[in-house]
Amino acid sequence: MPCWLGPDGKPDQGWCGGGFAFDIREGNSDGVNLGGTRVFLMAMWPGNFFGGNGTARLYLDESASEEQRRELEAIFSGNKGGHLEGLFGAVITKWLPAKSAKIDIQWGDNPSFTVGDIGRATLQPIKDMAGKPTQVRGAAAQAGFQIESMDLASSKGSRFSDPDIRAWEGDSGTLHRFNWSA
Amino acid sequence: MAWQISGEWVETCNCDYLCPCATSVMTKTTQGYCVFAAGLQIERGHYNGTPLDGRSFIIVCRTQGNMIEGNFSVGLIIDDGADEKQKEAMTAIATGEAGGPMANMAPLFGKFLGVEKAPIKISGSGKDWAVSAGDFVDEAVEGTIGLTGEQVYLDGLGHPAGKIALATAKKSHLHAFGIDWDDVSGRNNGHFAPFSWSG
Repeated sequence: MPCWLGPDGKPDQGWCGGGFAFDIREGNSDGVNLGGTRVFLMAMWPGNFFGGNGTARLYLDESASEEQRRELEAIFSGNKGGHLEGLFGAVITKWLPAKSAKIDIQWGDNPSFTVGDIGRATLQPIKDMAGKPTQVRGAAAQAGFQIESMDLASSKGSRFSDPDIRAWEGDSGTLHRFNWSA
Repeated sequence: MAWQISGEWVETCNCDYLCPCATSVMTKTTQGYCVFAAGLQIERGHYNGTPLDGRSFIIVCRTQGNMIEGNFSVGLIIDDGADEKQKEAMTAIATGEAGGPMANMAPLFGKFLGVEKAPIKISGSGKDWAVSAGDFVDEAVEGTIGLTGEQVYLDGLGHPAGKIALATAKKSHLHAFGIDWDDVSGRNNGHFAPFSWSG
C-alpha cells in the first residue's frame, strides 16, 4: 500500500525509501532569489513515511550561490518555518550533513532527474486509455506537503544510493506542482 | 438507440487495498487474478423509452490473470423487480452492447456467464456503502479519509464510473455463476462513486 494514503498502511517492502526532487521556478527567501535552483531530498524510513523516525540528507544545487544554498537548506530542512517545519519535524529524526551536487531535471512526457553520482530517476506518468493522467485527490501526503496536484507515475528503473542511507530502487512515483510560503 | 442512467456504483474486489490494478493500468493483481462484484443503483434512467428509475444490477467478474490480459468471465445479477424489457436494457448496458462506458471494457470480456435475478439492495451515504443480492452477494465498503477529513479519490483511471472514491472492503461474499469468494479481512479493496452514463 502506498505511503501517500496515510499512516495506517504498511509499505510493500516493510520500509520506505524516497527521493524528492524540487525544481524551483520562482522563489525567494529573505531577499535571496531562489528562481532556477534545485534541491533533492533523499531519505528512508523504517516503516511507513508517516510513522516517522526517518533519516535524510539534502543535496543542494551545486550551481546555486552560497547564499542560495544556505536558504535552500534552511527551507527544506524545516528551519525556516512553514508546513515543512511541522512535517519534517514529525517524520525525520536524523539529518545528515547537506551536500552539493549537480542536479539535472528534465521535463516532458517522462520527466527525469539525475543527482550527481547518487542516482537517477525516470517517471512514466500513469494515464487512462484516453490519455488523461491518473490523479489522486485528498490523500494524506497532499495534506502533509500542502500540494494540490498529485499525478501517479511509475518510477521503475530508478535507483539511488547514498553511503549513509539505505539504497533503493524505484517502483512508484508522483508528480506535483507546489506553491509554498512561510 | 438512446439511453441514459445515473446513480451510485459500489464494488469490492479480491486485491489488497490499494488495488494495484488501479495504479498499474491493469497490469498487476494481488493474487494473480481478479474477482469483483460491482453494484449499480440507478437513480434515474431510461433505455429507448423504457424507464429504469430505481432499478439496479450487479456486474460479477472473474479474470484468469491480470485484468489487461482480458478473457473475463462476466455474469449479471438484475433486481427481481425488473420486467423483461428492463432486464434486456440493463443487460445491454452492462455488457457494453449498448455502447457507453462498458463498451470500453467489452474487448476484455471473454465468457458471459448469464443473468440471475435477486432482490438487490444498494445503500449508503458518506463513506459507508453496501450491496446485497439474496444469497449471491453481500459486500460493504468504508471510504478512505485523508488527514484533512476529506474522502480520497482517484481520477483518470479509465474506470467505468470515472472519478472513484478509495475504500477498503469491510466484507465481500460472492456465490454466483460458480464463483465463490468470501473475505472479511478488512484488507481488501473497494470503491464507490456516483456515475452518469449514456449511449
